[in-house]
Amino acid sequence: VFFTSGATEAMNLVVRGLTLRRVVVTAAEHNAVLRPLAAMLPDSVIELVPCDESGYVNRKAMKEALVPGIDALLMNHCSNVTGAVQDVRFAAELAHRAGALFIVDAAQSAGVVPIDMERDDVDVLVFTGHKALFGPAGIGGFALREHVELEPVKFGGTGSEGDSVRPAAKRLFEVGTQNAPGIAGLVAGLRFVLETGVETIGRHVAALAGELSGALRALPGVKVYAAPENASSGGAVSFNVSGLDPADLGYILRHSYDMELRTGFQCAPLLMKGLGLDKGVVRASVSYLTPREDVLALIEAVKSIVGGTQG
Amino acid sequence: MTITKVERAVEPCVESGYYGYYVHFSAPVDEDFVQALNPLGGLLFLKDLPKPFYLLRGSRFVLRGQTGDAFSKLGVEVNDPEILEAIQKLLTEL
Repeated sequence: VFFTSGATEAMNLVVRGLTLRRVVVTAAEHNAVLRPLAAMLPDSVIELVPCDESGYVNRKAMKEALVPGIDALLMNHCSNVTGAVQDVRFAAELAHRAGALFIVDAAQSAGVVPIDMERDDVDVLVFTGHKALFGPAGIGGFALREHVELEPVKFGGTGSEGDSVRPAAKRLFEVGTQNAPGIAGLVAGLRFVLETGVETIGRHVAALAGELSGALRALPGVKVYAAPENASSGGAVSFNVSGLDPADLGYILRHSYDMELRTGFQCAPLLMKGLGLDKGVVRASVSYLTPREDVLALIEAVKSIVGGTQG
Repeated sequence: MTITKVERAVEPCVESGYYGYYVHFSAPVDEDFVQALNPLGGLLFLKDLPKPFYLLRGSRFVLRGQTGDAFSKLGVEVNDPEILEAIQKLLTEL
């Protein structure tokens, strides 16, 4: 495991440190994946697998896209827009059958959805500390399996071979002064996650997210983009209310109900484009620490707004 | 009604293509003020919300707020002080 400032830096180091000529990505990817790729490769060699409105990848399209010659499949384990959790083992099998590396962005899932790199056959796993791992902002990293030939793209002091400007050691990905307070905060968060249990956290988050998405789906004029109520979820539930832009809905929730929800594209431009959402969505995020009362209050607030917009 | 203060919003709304500001007024916004916005652009006024919400889409700016609050959120397309000043002038002349 190598520490970075977050998933974005980790993904930059991974994408730039591998030899990638042709890749497959899903429409659910975050800009942390899409922008490093776009900065390096033309669109013509970035194959896109579409997603449905819950954020699940189209399995048939993924199967068709993963052919010999593809260097890597980069897949969001869990959508930061809909909370949908992808089938990692299915994707791993397709990627490896095509001879591609399987790179997983676990920013939204680490700590809330069980993942095992060996069991799930993941070659590279990228994570952030500040979401479900309960660490502070500014810490994240990536984990590599032994066979992955990643070259460093940042160089500097590592605390080893200090007498040489050309160190012999490989895998010197942590250069310069490390974020020790961030790592310590992440360790505290990880202890909490491990003591509580990822499965316990996952069940709680899925139940809260399911209750929220189910109640919002039942409201007239509300369009929900989320995993089904009974499915695993990383905790994100997005929605729109007919007649209001996401920014307006976010404004009303903030200033009338004291609720802070992110509005707009959620750094997932291809998913928004695929869903035809030119102004994005409003996104609620629940975690293991979210009181159920907060979820119920949001449902009531949206109910009240829907009533007010239809009057 | 006068503008007492204009401050940059902590959340700048750049993702949506706007630069965000909070415009503070000398008194809470009421329905008459909202109706007076009408000539300045497309006005949406949702009176039936617990706190009535208004949205004005003008040329290169958006103004949103709620009656009862002594502030509005202003988004301008280009972060140009002249545009900001022109919008403030429009609001002051209402």
